[in-house]
Amino acid sequence: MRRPAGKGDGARRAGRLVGCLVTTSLVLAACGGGGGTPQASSKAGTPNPDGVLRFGVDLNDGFSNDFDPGTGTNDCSFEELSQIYSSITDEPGGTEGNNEILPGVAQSWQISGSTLTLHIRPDIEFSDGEPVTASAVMQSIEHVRTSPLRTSLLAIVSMDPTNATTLVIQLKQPPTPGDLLLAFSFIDGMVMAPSSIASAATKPVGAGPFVLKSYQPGAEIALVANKNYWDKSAYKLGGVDFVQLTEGPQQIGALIAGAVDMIELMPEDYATAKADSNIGIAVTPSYQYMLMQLRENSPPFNNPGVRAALEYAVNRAEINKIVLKGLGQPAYQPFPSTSPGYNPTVGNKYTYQPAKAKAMLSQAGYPHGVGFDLVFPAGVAEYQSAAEIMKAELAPAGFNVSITQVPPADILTDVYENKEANAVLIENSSNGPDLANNFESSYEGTGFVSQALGSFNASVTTLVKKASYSISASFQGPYMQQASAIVMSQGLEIPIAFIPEIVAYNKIRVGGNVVAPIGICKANLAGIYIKK
Amino acid sequence: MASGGSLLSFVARRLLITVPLLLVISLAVFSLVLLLPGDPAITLAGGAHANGAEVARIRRQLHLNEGFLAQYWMWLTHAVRGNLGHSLFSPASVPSSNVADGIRIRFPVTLSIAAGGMVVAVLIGLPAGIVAGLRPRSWADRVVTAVSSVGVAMPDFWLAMLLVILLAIKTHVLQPLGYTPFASSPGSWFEHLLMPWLALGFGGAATVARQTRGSLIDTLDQDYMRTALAKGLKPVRIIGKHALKNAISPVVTIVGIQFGYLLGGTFIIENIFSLPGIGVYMITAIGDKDLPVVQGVALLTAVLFVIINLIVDIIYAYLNPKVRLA
Repeated sequence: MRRPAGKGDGARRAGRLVGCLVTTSLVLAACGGGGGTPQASSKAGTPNPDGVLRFGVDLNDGFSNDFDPGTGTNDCSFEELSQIYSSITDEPGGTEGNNEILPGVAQSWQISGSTLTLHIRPDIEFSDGEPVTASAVMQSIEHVRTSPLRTSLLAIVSMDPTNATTLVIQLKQPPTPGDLLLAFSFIDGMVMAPSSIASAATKPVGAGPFVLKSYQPGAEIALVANKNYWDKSAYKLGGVDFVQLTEGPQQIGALIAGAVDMIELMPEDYATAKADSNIGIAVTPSYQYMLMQLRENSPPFNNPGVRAALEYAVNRAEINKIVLKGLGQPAYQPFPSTSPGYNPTVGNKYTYQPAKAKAMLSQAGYPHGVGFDLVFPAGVAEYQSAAEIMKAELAPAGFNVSITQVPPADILTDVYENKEANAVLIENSSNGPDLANNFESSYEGTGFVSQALGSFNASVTTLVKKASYSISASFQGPYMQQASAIVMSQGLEIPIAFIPEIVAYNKIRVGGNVVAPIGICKANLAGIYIKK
Repeated sequence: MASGGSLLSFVARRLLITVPLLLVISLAVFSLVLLLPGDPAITLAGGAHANGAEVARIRRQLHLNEGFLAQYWMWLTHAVRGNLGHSLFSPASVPSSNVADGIRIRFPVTLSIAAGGMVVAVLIGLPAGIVAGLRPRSWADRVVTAVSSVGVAMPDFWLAMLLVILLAIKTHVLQPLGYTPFASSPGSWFEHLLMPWLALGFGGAATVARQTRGSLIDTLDQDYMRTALAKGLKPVRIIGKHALKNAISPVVTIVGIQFGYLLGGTFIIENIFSLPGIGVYMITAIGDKDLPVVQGVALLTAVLFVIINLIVDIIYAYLNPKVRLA
């Protein structure tokens, strides 16, 4: 499922902009020490059952100031809320190649036409001791679907808890149970104790691994272990404090100084973290990718030949090396090599070939080259750097690029509503089992991006519809491989690089197998502990 | 009696000027609505997923369909009663979604930082300025002048990062982030705010030192100072009672203005030290186009500036009766 842009993106970027001003000083501080390892594991030490992990996150940007899944407006709140609430299903995460939806509060499900039957785990409880029943799940869904952000739940026509552990859900035609099952792994499927729904904004009660202890807006969310958690053996932490830490080089500074135990690491801070022997690093390849979307209903990108040429004009390997410090992967197609949507025939065909691109551009009617405007979100070091590299490397291919920064909060208005600029550098995801979902918005006639940029493509739409019969990634894979080939041959989008998920942590305090989660706004806290 | 009456009259005149000034400020602050691109109703309705009916409902709910002046009047009448509206991105059921509450929760943090920075500025700047002013062109004067030149030129965020490297990362002496309320633990409050105070106060100290030095040198050069010396008064009395009292007036003005700058400076400092003050609240709100929060914090900041200026003017008028006639 592709998530809408979080409401806090603008501030997150602003915070990073402040951080960018002082990057150099922190890099200077990072001298001496040994080396971290990309796939770090810190298993030594005995778990302290009361140990509290201090996780540095940007609460101002990434949290709704609201613990109610039905009223919160920031999807990045998932990182904290998912520690309090268990969802109906669980999205694959943390391991490569795992592309099927996992059980959550529902231990299994059946799909029959437009009917989805959920089988709730028996004998599990909310943190306040209330039983988690089919009726409780239904009440949660009814509450959460009142949010305008939870559009996936609009597919539900009716719900019937036939017994304590069975919930039968009738869906609109055409049936899309797969989409719904995937959405159930996110905020859409968070299960709330019925008695807590009215006060969930400040007093949440869920069936997740932790319970809210205290909350200081913009400063700290303190959680303690839920004694009633149904999968208690998976969690070894006594609690977790999500501590406000503005994005930027101060994140790595706080980790080195011991003010926090764990952070999400920016690629630009990788070298600093690696130089400190007390810092562990875990890197997980991600399906999240940086790409260039093109305005395909106006010159020059209404010319398929120009778009096709552009695919050969981007030096993806160089951008991965410089911008992502080699930790990501060049995106020669919209799916990484670990995905069932990866097309081996396309492979790494679209390497940087400026001479070929120039010849193609000439054939497309632009023998003297062509210019276009590229917009990218302001205040984000990766985008700034990637845009500048692209401007330089596109020139030999005959593309004269004018790059412009736009405040992240204005991208929606400027690019998609006011239709400014020819191209935009942005981030997209082909994450999860619903591989086709990524292309719905971009290439179907009713898709938001498709309508804004004129990128409708009938062939891709047909493949997306076929793939959508099942949520299984292995089912969708072959269709998406075909779609991937079309996207690249026609230059419908310009994938650039897959962005890695990186977590850095204090090896002296944190034990267990630390794994960076796949996808943004998530925290993998299972299996890790604070050492005695 | 006459001078006391003049002071009251001066205060009354200044207060009268303040009222239309605040009205102009409030209009300017509310006009921010016109400057921000985009439609908050679309953002609230789900951004890219917004449907027309929901957008229309939110527009009605927020009175966005009404005329500018009608919206301004509604906002103003609520604001004077302390109701600054609700954050667009938090439901009314969340106490801190109320902008006034959001400011009330966060303002003590910002005030702590600015006030501490001011204390640092005065504690360092005033003695340094006096030392330099009493002995112009001495080595002490040269050191103060050189250091204060660096202090004025050095951005406070840069000094903040140097302090983090030195006191947190290298030596682990202080915490590089976080905040503890004074009521919870005065010691921890002090420990968490010491670096922000130093970072913020150093530039202010430099300005105060330079102003004090210059003002003191000017005062000491006056004829009445030589007269006092010729009358045989002790130097301590001459400096303490006559020189400093006269030299301090312009310094008071600078200190008042500096406090305003320090309040503004906290916006960046809060970000660096991850402090939950109104600066971070404001920056987050700007990114989110959370207009009620932006308007509320902007109004508060503007009103604070007006109040600080008013207080400075009154103190100045008290110290210098000639000002009351202006």
